[in-house]
Amino acid sequence: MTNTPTPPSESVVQDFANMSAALTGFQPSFIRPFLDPVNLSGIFYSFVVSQVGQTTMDTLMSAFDALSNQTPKLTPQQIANTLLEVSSSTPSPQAQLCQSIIAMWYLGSWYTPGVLGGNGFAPPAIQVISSQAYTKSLAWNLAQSHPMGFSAFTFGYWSQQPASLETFGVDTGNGGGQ
Amino acid sequence: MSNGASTQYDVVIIGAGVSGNLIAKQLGLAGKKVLILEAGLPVPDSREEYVNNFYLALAKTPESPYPALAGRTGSTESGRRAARSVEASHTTRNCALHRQGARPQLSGPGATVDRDS
Repeated sequence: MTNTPTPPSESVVQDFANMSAALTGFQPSFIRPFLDPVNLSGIFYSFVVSQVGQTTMDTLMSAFDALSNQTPKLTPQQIANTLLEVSSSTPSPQAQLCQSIIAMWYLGSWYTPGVLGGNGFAPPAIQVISSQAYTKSLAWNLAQSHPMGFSAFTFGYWSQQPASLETFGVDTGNGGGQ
Repeated sequence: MSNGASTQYDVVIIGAGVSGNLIAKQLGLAGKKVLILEAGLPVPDSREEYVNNFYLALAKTPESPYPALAGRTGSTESGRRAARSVEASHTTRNCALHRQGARPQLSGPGATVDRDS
């Protein structure tokens, strides 16, 4: 599918992070912090490219760029709705790829685009991308919680109300999560 | 296992899990002679690998953190259970006698018999 992967450029990773923020409903600055030693955005970008190929990824990023450059400016929610084709009952392969990207951020696992589960169950994940992908996955933040064996909370946190969703990185201001 | 084979025990407990150990402790405190049989691998100094295994497991089951034992290759729960029962039936690897409140000896190969203390 691809040759030896070269690290994606800074601007490409930032672009992917911006699209990921719109799709997941999280703040871009949370998806890709200024200081980002883990660099999930870069890891995830390269992972998706390894799964679907550079051409498919470039096409998706171009679609995102076109949407984010529209005037009047679209909200992240509008961009996500368009990319995900929420008004269509038969989403295109590109929209299915966006679904997989959302699942990747939320669960740290890769699901083949377009492969559906049955009887209300999710399809089987192909792989957990990495330990960090799992512990940093967004589902924990949305639940205002933390994964087993990995917590930045202080002792006794369970006796207090959890911090706000904004604190956990959720973009509650402009339609992140309907 | 020669020592163990000639020793009489009041109770033999299969599996040095939480329940087995707690029961063994109480029996030991009550003066019973107890043998614990455990088919699992010795607990490593650092359990970081266990945590990592858990994070990377597709299905987070109670057994996901632990390394697969030889012969336990079943991918289904029933397969794993069957493989484990086979192992348990001929295990001589980690045996521990828990007696009079002595701590169970769960590491190291071969039978560990804590005869008296």
